[in-house]
Amino acid sequence: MKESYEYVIVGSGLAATLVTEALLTADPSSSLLVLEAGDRIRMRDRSSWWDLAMRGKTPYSQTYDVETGDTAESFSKGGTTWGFKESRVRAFGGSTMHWGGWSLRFQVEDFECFTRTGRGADWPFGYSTLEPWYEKAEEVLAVGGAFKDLDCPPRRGDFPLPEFPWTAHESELATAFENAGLNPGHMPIARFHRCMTTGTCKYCPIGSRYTAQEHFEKIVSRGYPSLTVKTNAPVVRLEADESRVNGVVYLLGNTEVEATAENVVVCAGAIESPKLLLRSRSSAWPHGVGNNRDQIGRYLVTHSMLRVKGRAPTNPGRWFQEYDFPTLMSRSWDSEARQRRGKVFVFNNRTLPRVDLGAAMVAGRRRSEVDAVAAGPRQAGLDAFIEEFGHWDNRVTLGTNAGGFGLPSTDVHFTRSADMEPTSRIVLDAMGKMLTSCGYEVGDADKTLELPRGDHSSGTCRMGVTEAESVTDANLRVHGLDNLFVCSNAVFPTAGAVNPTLTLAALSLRLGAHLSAGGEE
Amino acid sequence: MLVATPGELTPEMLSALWRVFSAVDTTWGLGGIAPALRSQWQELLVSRIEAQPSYFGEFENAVLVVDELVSEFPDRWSEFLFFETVVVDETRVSTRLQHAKYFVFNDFLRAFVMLGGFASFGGKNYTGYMGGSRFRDVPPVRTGAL
Repeated sequence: MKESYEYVIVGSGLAATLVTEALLTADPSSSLLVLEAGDRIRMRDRSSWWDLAMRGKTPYSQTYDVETGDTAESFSKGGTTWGFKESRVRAFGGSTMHWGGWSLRFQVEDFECFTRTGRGADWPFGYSTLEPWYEKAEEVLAVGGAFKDLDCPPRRGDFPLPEFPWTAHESELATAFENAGLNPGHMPIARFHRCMTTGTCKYCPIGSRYTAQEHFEKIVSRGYPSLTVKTNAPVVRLEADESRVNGVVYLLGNTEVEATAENVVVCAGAIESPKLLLRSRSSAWPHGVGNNRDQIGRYLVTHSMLRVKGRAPTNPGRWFQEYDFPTLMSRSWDSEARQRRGKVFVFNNRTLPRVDLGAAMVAGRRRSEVDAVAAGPRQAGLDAFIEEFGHWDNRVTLGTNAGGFGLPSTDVHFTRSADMEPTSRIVLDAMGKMLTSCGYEVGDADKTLELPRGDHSSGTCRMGVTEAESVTDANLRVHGLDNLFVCSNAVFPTAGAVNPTLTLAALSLRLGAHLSAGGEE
Repeated sequence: MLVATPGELTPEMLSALWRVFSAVDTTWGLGGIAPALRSQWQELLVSRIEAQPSYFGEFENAVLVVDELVSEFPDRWSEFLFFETVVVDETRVSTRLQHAKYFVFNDFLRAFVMLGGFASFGGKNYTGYMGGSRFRDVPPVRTGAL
């Protein structure tokens, strides 16, 4: 017997949460099935919090991809090593469980990348289309920022909450930004009003940082009569004919269960969303549902991290990082002028200066020695994300091994653009000079282009105008299918230089409204 | 970890463990704030006992170790425990003393620092410290001129 719903939503992260809430707000009697492959993680658990505060251990580390050994489930197969570790949380609530809350809008020109540069792709709509949804997303996530900051995307009003002030250390670096011609700004950060700045944001003890898990639990607690949420229920495949998805097949234990729905929304991230479509083969879709033009899984991009560290012999102010996040950033290089070379988003290293007083005491250091640690050599750091452009050959495919949750493993084929290394070198040198101007010593070995990681993966089911160049249309509906939608970073045609989460939230709210209106434009 | 059926710490056990926690304050000169941290310290103990696996067996062992140390080195037990017994590698934990230092008293050191002891080293906020709301007149962190 098949279960029947108006909507089946695959995944339970940010996108799934916002779409679910929009649908149920519009019609509380809507029947929804939400399927999450992972398990629930206890939130606000005091013992877990102590583990994080004292040992840096999180209660969700077991959900991360396994990359090595007999149980490896994610493989890097391209010319550039791709890192999966700690890049996504595979559990109810998804990766907002561990996100930093950095909530930045894309710039106007990010939506017109190909037109302006001949690289990447254009979005099927412009910034002005998404702007009202950005506003709503900032309200939902409780974003604090500074309206007056320069080089930021246009906005109609102030942020929902004020910015976090720079630390003393960051104020010094802000001067270095200005000396280098960058306008320093305040990182837009999602933290609820009740934040107590405890610096353990990876697992907040009081729920002060948005997580989809807590948001989704609130939705569930409202008692919608026809909302069903199933965890430990990985989706195996979608059953589709020429124009519709007729079934969603998922596992409960070792048993396959099939659900039917009027609409199916895949909110499974930029890795699992294309994998699900690719393995949903049928006579109508021999290469995977929606994939007759071989677009699914391709154009994978992420942000590579540029990292510069400097050392000073003393720390007279005994500074150390007092938040768990950077509050200093600049979007001056995230500009139209840099777009062809790859835009850059620069910010303070969130962990430096690091002074671990507890570790010194554990190591048997006496008071005078711990004082010396506090006042002694100091490290500072600047980090940046650099934009990568989508290429046909950079893609996610189904692996041949057994992966997590009884699903196929993941193969990532990724090779950096030829100009990434030389471009990065120029940017790293400029960042190094900023630290040098503050009195830090910076050597060549202190300037690194880190390996690409999965954290900001996007582009693998990109949206566009035609089936020949994209997977979904502007309303996130998969080309050629009446009732299949993808809502994930996977649909981003370009990723700009900043964190994707706020843009995903805006897209999710927009899709929720679109579906609630019966698919009307 | 030492396995035991989780239970409730007796007043005598609490007293023995408190002796060590409060000695962190005096040994490192952290401002005489130990009494103000007592409720948070007790919450740490309770949450550790309720953890999976429970720390109760480690606490039972730590109490025995403290009693033994105080009996054997009445004038310098804290010197012996804090500076002469350094255990930072879990894989090398085997004796009762090493268990107590690694699983219990190292936690006390880190907890004392993050609950407020860091302030005596010049900080205003620290990882794990409830720094307070950013909506007060006084920022929760040290800020600069800009």
